[in-house]
Amino acid sequence: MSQIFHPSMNTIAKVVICAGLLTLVSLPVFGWLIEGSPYVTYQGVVRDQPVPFSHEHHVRELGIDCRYCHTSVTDSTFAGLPATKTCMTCHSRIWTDAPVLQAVRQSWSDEIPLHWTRVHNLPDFVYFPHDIHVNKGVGCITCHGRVDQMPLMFQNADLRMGWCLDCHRSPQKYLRPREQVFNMQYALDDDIRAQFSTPDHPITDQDSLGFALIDLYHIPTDGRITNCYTCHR
Amino acid sequence: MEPPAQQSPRYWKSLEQYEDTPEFRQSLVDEFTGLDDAAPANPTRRTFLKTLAASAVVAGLSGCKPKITEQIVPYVRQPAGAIPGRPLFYATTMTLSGYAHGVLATSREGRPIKLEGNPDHPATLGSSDVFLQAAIYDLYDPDRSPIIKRAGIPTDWDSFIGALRPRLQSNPKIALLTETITSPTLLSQIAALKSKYPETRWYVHDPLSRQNIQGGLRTATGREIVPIYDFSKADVILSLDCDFLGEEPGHIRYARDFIDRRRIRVGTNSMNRLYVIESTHSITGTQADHRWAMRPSQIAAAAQAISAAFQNPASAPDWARAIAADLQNAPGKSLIIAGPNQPPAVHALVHSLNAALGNIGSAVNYIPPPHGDPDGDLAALTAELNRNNFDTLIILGGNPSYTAPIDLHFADALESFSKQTDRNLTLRLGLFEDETSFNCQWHLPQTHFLEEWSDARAYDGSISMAQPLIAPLYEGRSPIELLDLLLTGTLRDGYEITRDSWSHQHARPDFETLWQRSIEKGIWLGNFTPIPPSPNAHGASVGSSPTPTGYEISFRPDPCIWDGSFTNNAFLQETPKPLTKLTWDNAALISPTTARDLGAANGDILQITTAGQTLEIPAWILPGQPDGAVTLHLGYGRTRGGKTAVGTGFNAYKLRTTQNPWFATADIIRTGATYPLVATHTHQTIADRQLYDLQAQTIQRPGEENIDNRKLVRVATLSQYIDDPHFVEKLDEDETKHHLTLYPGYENIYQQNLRWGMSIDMQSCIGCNACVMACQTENNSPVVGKDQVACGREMHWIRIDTYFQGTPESPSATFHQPVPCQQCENAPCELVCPVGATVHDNEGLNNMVYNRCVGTRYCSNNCPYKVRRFNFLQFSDTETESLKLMRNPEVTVRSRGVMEKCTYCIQRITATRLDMEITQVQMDAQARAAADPAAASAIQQQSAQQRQKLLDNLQTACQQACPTRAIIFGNLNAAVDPIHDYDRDHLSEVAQLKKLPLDYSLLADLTTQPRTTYLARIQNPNPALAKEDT
Repeated sequence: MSQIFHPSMNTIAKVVICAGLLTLVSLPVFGWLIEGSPYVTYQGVVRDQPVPFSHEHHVRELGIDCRYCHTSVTDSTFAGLPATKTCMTCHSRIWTDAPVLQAVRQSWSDEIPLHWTRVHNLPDFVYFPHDIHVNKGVGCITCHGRVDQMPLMFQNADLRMGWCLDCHRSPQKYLRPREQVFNMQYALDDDIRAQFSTPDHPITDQDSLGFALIDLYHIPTDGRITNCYTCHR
Repeated sequence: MEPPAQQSPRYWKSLEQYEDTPEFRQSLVDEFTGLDDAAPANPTRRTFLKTLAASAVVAGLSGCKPKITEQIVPYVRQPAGAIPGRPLFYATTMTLSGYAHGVLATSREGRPIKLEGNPDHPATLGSSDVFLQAAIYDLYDPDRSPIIKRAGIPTDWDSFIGALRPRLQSNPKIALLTETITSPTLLSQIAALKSKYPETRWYVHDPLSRQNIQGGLRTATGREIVPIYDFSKADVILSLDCDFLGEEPGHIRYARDFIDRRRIRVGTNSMNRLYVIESTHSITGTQADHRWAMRPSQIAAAAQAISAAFQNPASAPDWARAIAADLQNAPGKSLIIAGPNQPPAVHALVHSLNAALGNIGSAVNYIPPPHGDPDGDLAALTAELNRNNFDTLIILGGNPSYTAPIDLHFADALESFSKQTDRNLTLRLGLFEDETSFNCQWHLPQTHFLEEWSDARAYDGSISMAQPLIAPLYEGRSPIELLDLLLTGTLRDGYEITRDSWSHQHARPDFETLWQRSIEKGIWLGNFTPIPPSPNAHGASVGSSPTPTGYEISFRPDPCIWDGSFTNNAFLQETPKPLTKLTWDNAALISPTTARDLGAANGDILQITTAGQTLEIPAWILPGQPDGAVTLHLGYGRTRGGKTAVGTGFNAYKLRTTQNPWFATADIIRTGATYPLVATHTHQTIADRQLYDLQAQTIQRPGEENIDNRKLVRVATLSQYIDDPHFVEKLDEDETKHHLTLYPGYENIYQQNLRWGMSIDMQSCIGCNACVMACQTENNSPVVGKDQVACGREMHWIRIDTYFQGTPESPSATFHQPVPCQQCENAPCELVCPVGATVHDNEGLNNMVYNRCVGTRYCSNNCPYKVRRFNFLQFSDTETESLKLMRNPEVTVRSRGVMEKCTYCIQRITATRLDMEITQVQMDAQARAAADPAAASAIQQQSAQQRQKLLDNLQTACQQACPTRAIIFGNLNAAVDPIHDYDRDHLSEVAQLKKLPLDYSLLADLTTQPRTTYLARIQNPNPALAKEDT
């Protein structure tokens, strides 16, 4: 009886088997990559908004403080979005006819709120309080990035749990003095070194500043801020 | 029901446990019932593989959900004082049968989401009852009537006003029918209506009328008065069928004052004594030191016997003599109280006894009735309707077609009156389109009390102000607005009307400030002149004791759905009723002896016939019921009024007549049919696994100690306690021996952090269910429905276990034990979770992480307290729009396949902890900037005080709701770590309670070291009655 398969089939069989194994291995990897990609996380994706609001213009060029619009950021879990009235404080006087502001004027005259698209959207089982973070020296840009360089708003970080835990496990890497929280151009300079240095604990780099601030702001280091109930409930 | 002699446990939760049947044992092992039906029987390999494959595919698909784009909608103009993300609190008022309960409502971004008692209100003192807690559901109830209807056809207010106006201009003969009204604004409007349209008459029908009390006092004193009680001044209390902890208008306040005189703490060795003579087993009866279950016909006689014992102790029976002597030994410090169901003669007698004992002016005070004086009752109105003496009938609230005495045939009278459309106009203002709406021409949607401006008076006559928390969700109007429409012919805003009414009461320059302050406080602070009661018009006070022949029926409001006002409230429907633990139905409550006489078991349908009326209703055996007497709870068996209301329970109003509204004699037979009643009394039984080991076919019973639930319920008499304050520890020798831990390092961590703990006082718990409902509304717990409760899948995070003592035929005492998650330091659930979804945190809490949970249910299986609840199906309704508004945004809405349990209200803990830390950081910064060290130190001091205040104000939802402060929660650590460096000498209330000798843990010998511990119950029996104790 002659052979059913030609000997060259061996090679094909080997390739198929290898490819199969490779697929098995690569599928989870592929899934993991998709899970972390902007397709799922929206990291870096500019969202459509009713008004093309430019943080770059208002923050960098005009120098408006974050808290002028995000009024409750120091007092509430929710940073707050400005009421239409806040926009109209200026825009009833300047750019009163600008077509891009039509939606704002409409909202003001019809008393119907603007419907903004949420850019930073955490899952419903995650509770992120703004007030405690900004009060304990986590700067706006630590999570939101250089908002003053964003003509249109996008999500800077991937907002996955590992990213949160990175800071909750080692807060010293990110802490800054409370006075600098809203400063977009913050950098560790000599003034700050001098301000927080003690003879026992000279401030040389971010880590040494971070540890000093952990003490100063009573940030738990016993793992309490990585307890599940810190964010999930 | 043969009691298994010597083997029966001392305390038992259900008759099944008492009898210790094989089925009961099996139920302890089968924790997750109802799964057998879902799984194919004897699956073949093919079926198994097919199911497996299908599950894998469906599970994969469930991961594919569309990306949700969320929106943020800011204000156009942000209101002053509103901080997005922070709750706001407003005082308002809820009425129950007309009487006000002060409410403090939590509002999140304009939505009321939670109701608590108003701490400044005399009727609530900050706590609440099951109705107040559940009222939030009524606001968002998807079955609420949204739109005005004429003959069932939707229309609008303009066409209603168009139909009304010509009638108002032609001297109408208006009949107004309401429930009990205490609102001063409404009463003044009714007076104005009568003077504007002189032929107007006002009728009141309240199915839970309190006319007997007023009638009895009228006979005795010749005055129009009602009693209010001050339990803080009573050492000896006798209740004659009065459930003052659950049914009186001031019951929340009464419960607080009553229990405050019963607590045994360091330095107090005295407590009040309660005698209860009652015709049904009520929660007041469970608090009694001596309780007698008597047939309704015997209660008046018992009152007579006690009265006779005052004059002539020698010839009185022992029990009456003992009670009389005890009452006389506390002159001016005793209290006799009779229920509204007792005939006027009993109330007159009670008045004379209280007067003789010197209690009037002390524990009993009389006030002019806070409710208004109508022109007649429903019987009078029905007669007038039949004679066509009116041409306009306005029904405000209530549901008279359903609640009317059956012999009046009110619904028929109303319907034939309504059918004369050319002559008569009938309209009904109601929250739901119910039986009464069906009999009327017009149905007008009513606003919920959280949507309207109003006022009402509390049990003690104080005036409560009600303000809306939200604009009307539908086209509703309030009773005040409707009456104003009749008076002015235009629809005005309730705010204007209420404000006008009070500006007339208090016509002074300071009105504006006073009005603002009153609204803020929820209590009227200015002048008030009530309308004097008219001497001629009285509601009929009817009712006498039945003649003792055959079986006797007692009609009572349902402990969960009241008189039918809450029948469509799914939260209340699913709340296990006190004592019976029935859900979704009512039943004929009978004693075990009566059940044996009738040959009836639970669920056997009884045919009850009285005065020619017949009702078929299933039986439920309740130990502690008087033999030969049946209790029927009102409010069930609705035919209209919402999807939840219709189809539950049996209508006891069908047996209620004008002459016998409270009691009746009846013939009862068993029909042979059965009905599936669902109760939770056998669910989640804490069982000693060794003793209930099914594998060991023969059950070893080494001694009574081990099988009598003694470790769960610990009780002593006051004299025993005084002899040996440490009796609690001696009941459980193991407890002190086992302080083993798997996590030795944790003790150090616990001392460094806030250490949460809870103390539950068995002495104070009255079993009222306020905590259960508070937990449900706070934590977004779903309703599962009757069929799921039957499988043991109710989702309440806190349950009230009720233990009986003695035999089912005559239980000697009853104890309530609220059981939330015990937050074990050595938590058995954590060890068995394969995915780490339940883990411990640094503050000692057992964290339940929903997003990690894969639903193995191992944790629940391993929980000795059976406090974990599993979402077998998608129980949370995430589709209905109105219910979305009700949810607490601080708590995750759980999905199918996820385990959940009490978290000690972690959302409240977190909010408090964050506020404490923010205060600390901010004031630290101020201190650093301070001019000198003294100023800095002062700021630090202030910071510590503020943080301590925040911590002291932290309450769990159950704690806040509890009328008797039976649940106390807080930080157990006296001195806290440097992070929370506040007053080190300050010991929280819960830490103090845990130092009491009464403190004990459930199943302490399992070394779970629960953070929730209990305080033993102390009873105060009369030594003279020791032998006769029933």
